[in-house]
Amino acid sequence: MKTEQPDYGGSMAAVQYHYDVSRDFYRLWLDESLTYSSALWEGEDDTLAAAQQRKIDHHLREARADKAESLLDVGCGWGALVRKASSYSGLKRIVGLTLSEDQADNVRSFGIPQIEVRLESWTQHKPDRPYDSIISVGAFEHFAKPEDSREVKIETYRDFFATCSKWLTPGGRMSLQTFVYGTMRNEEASQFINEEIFPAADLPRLDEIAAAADGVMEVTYLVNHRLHYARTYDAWARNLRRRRDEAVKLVGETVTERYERYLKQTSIGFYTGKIGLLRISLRPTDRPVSETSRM
Amino acid sequence: MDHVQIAEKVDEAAVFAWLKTYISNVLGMDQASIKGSDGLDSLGLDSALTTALAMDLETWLGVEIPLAILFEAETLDNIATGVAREAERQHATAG
Repeated sequence: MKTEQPDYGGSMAAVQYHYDVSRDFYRLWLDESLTYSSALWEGEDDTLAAAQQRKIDHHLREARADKAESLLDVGCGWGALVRKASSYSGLKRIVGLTLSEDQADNVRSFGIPQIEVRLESWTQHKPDRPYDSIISVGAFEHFAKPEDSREVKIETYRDFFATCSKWLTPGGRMSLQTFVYGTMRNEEASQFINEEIFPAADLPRLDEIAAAADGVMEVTYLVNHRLHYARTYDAWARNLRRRRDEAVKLVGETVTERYERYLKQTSIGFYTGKIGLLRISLRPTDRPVSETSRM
Repeated sequence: MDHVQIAEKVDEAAVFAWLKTYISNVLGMDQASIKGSDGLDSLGLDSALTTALAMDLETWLGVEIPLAILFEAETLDNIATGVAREAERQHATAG
């Protein structure tokens, strides 16, 4: 693992730029669990909160958390998933990684003994025991930098898959969710989104993920749920607009306006297919027992 | 929402006229060359311009317009129909 590069696998400064604006600000427009990733909608009358819990249930099911004793959440956000996981009585050890201090504080505030939150990147994490389940939602898109070539991106993603594969018990499963470029070419990516909202990040492409996983992990399920994310972003945009006055008091007019535009524009990107939202289930490619026992 | 001028009565024709004026302004096109059978994409509105249009449309109407209405419709005519229906529905709900 190339941990000597400070930004390798996700820049802490970039993550803090986006997520440490203010928890109270995000609280105005996210659902009450503070889930900041695509929901999984069902029907016209669905609510954002219900759709977010359905998404969390999807990942817990795909990672086989019901049969797991230990679970790792790479990029745990404000902790909605690890919190839900703690309701599984079999799960004795739940570890969440985040690069945001505010998110880590929030997870600690739950006071749930089986949850451990760590302020570190997957490149710094050194588990002493393997995990039965690994889930990563909305982190993978932060791993590559805009200046990385396709080869470097694939190498980084491959390193991530190899690392997760090594951390998984023999029957372990992983569930991943990430933004991807869709019909948009990398160089067309909106400057506004890249520079003002997610600095120092470059989105993956499906073919890069496939190339990175090849021979390391088998893809057992893959779906592009871009319309689910379009609806999620639009729901956030409308929540923010309803509570605009409070938002301006918290973060000022400029930041509020920037987020209003970003939420709408990203929703449109998903509606038009320029960006996509992949949910992928993976399992380590079979290997000899001697390999799996060596951590 | 604050300081919004709520349009009195919006029907499809009013929404279509608003869309035509708006698009001709931002793209520098002749209004007469914009047809009801055109789509946002085919007219050349990118995501930044469509974002601005969606936000300004909501401000003009004084109601929330889910983006799904703009994207489930293929043409400006269909967008106008969907938007007018949604505005009507929300005004009725609000009493």
